[in-house]
Amino acid sequence: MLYKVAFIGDSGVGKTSLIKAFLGEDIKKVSTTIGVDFYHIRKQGCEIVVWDFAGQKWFREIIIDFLKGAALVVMVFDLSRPSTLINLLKSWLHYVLSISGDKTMVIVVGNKKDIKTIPDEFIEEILYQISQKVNFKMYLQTSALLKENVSNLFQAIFEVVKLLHVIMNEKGKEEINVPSRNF
Amino acid sequence: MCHLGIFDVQFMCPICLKNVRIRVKAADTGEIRRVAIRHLDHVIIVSYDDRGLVRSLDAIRISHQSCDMVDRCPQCGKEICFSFPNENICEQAIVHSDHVVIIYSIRRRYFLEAIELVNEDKEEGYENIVSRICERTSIDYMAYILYKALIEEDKIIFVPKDIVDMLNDLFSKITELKRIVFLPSDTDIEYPTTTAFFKEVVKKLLKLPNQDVITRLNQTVLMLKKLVKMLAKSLREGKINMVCEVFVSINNRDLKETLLLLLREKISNQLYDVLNESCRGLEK
Repeated sequence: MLYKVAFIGDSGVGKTSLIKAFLGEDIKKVSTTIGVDFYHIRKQGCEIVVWDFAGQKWFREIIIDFLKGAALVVMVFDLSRPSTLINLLKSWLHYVLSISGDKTMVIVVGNKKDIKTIPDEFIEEILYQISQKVNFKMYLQTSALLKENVSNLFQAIFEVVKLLHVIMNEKGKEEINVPSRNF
Repeated sequence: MCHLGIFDVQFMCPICLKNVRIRVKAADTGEIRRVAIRHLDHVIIVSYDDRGLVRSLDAIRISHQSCDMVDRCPQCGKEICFSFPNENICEQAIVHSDHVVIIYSIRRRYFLEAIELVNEDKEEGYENIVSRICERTSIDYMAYILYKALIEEDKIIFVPKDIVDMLNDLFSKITELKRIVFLPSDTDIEYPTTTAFFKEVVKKLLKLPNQDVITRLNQTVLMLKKLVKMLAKSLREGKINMVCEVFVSINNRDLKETLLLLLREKISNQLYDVLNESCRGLEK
């Protein structure tokens, strides 16, 4: 089965860079995403289509409907720009709730670990609030530039998708509510 | 526009909807740089990339100094006083001479950040070519022109005489489209009014400065072309269900219609009929 994984978050936080870093592509050539990009990834017996959403506000209203049907949403922020973290809670979470619903499985990623400025306790507080509203699976800090934790992020994505696959096989295609689990 | 590492960046303030132009230092390759601009009771934090493209705009209200909490500015060390508002999560700004201190707070946790303050460039007026075309015709007509240009790339389009030059000028800058030539027509031009998606795009463009209009138009054209190309490719590969799911997920009826119209030009009638039928089945 093919699973849809959506990457969302403000423009310039590094969503495309994370995907390209995982695919072994040169991230220096990454430019702003126009609308939405798709990546078909087959690994470890899993097949996923990653939907890489543009972060720019101009595109948001046009493309955000495409979030519907996402098995997993990866919310990315920039560890050096606090507003990108706040916008996860103020803006992006609202889209996830209204389009995908509160049962949506969510992974939060703080990218640009190499230039991190936001204190951990501030991040924890926001993560706590996100976890109260969706099916929050985990939080990871990454650096696409240094390729740090990128493979762990995708490993976690595949784990969640595999778990979802097992549950879907057991329950059929009815309502999905996957219990939280540590990775 | 970029001269020797200096960019002219234009955008519309998300609070007072005023056009703003600033002259800023280019960001390093791959870097997102931020500067602050002071408006009446708020500051705008502009994030832009190494190409001078505005990635995000955040408007933050200027805080009235009060003394619930005292700390020091991370840039100049000056004492700052602020209070925790009732809101769960809050951003406040305090303007110092050449920088702005942003206070990010969630419940009673907070942290401070200093961002360089730049002045607005007020030398020249702003013009908006789309708004001028709409004044002489209508928003509906401009939307129709956009739609027609996308469908009929690389062709000649006849339009009213008094907007020929403006359209040729505008479309010469929409580099994502193949060259379109606009020629004057002596007769009245009739046009359909079914291009609601483009009407919304035109409405959003009306207040932007020209530089922004060109960027947004190029991005919109590129996005639609990319989506249609992806959908057409998937259909040819037999992934009809995937394409149907994309269409079913689109709540915006106008966007759905526009994509279908554009897709119709790229695939066979037979494939289009199969798509229509499958989508109807999925919607049920």
